[in-house]
Amino acid sequence: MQGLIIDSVTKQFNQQAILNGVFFNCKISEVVGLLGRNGSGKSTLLKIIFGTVNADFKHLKLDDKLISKGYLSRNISYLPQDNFIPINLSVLQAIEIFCNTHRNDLLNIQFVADNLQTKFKDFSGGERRLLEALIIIYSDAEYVLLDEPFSQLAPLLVDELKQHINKIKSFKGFIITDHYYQSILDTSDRIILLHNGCNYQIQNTDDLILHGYLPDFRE
Amino acid sequence: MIGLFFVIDGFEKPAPYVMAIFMKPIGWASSIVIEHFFLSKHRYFYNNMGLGFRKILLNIIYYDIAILIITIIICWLCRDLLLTVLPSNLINKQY
Repeated sequence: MQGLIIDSVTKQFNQQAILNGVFFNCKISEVVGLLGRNGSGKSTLLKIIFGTVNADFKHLKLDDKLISKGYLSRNISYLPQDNFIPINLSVLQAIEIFCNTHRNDLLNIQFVADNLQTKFKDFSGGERRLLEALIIIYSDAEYVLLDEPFSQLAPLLVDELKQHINKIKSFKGFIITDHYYQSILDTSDRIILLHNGCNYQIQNTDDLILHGYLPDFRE
Repeated sequence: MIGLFFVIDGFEKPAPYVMAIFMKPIGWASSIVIEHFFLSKHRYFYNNMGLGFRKILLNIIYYDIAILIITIIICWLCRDLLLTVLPSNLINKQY
């Protein structure tokens, strides 16, 4: 089966099971939204897929190939919660490192085109976040993991980022997690909720209330 | 320097080679420590390029070996010049 398959992911912290047999998959041209309360293991799961955190047990397959660390496949890119591009690098240098296939799409974005020679240290926090998210979205990897891409961004920029994800998703598979659940619901084709270490398929906001992710105001 | 000694003296004087074998692991161990601090800051930048800790460390060792081989080749090519210009006590008696 083609795509990214994540199966039987188990991870304990201080003898408490954060992830307990979590499984799901992501195909090209699909956006999978990952929701969950604080500490439910969303970021840990993305880091396990990417390979920077070791799981107690995991079964990870990329296009029918068993992989140990996502980043070693060079086909999975990851936007961490914190800034990751060195501040002395210019936008153009970062684009040249990460984006070859879809470089022109990225260079057509007005904000990017206007700031090609600007170094990352000269941007505001939100601008830097937007640029890093765009570089990862348009990177050469076919599977993109985005950890809280909408945080630090103004509503207009959130909308812009959502448009870019929609624009390029026919070439890529996305796994996105964020606390701005409405943005996740808008962008995603499928929603998975992490709760009590397990994953639940979510069809609508009622399911989110049922599993205790959203408060029930009807009571 | 080790390349230079090798070209001038061959295997006859093992002292510098023993020193190199002693010094190299210390150098690599320091590289591991420096790399650890460096990577903790830029981990995701390199990981997104498909580079991990082991790959970077292996590259350091490969570059080390490549530089040693290049030095030996250059010293070998310039052997006559080096034997002429180097102080005689470096070549004949002591390092």
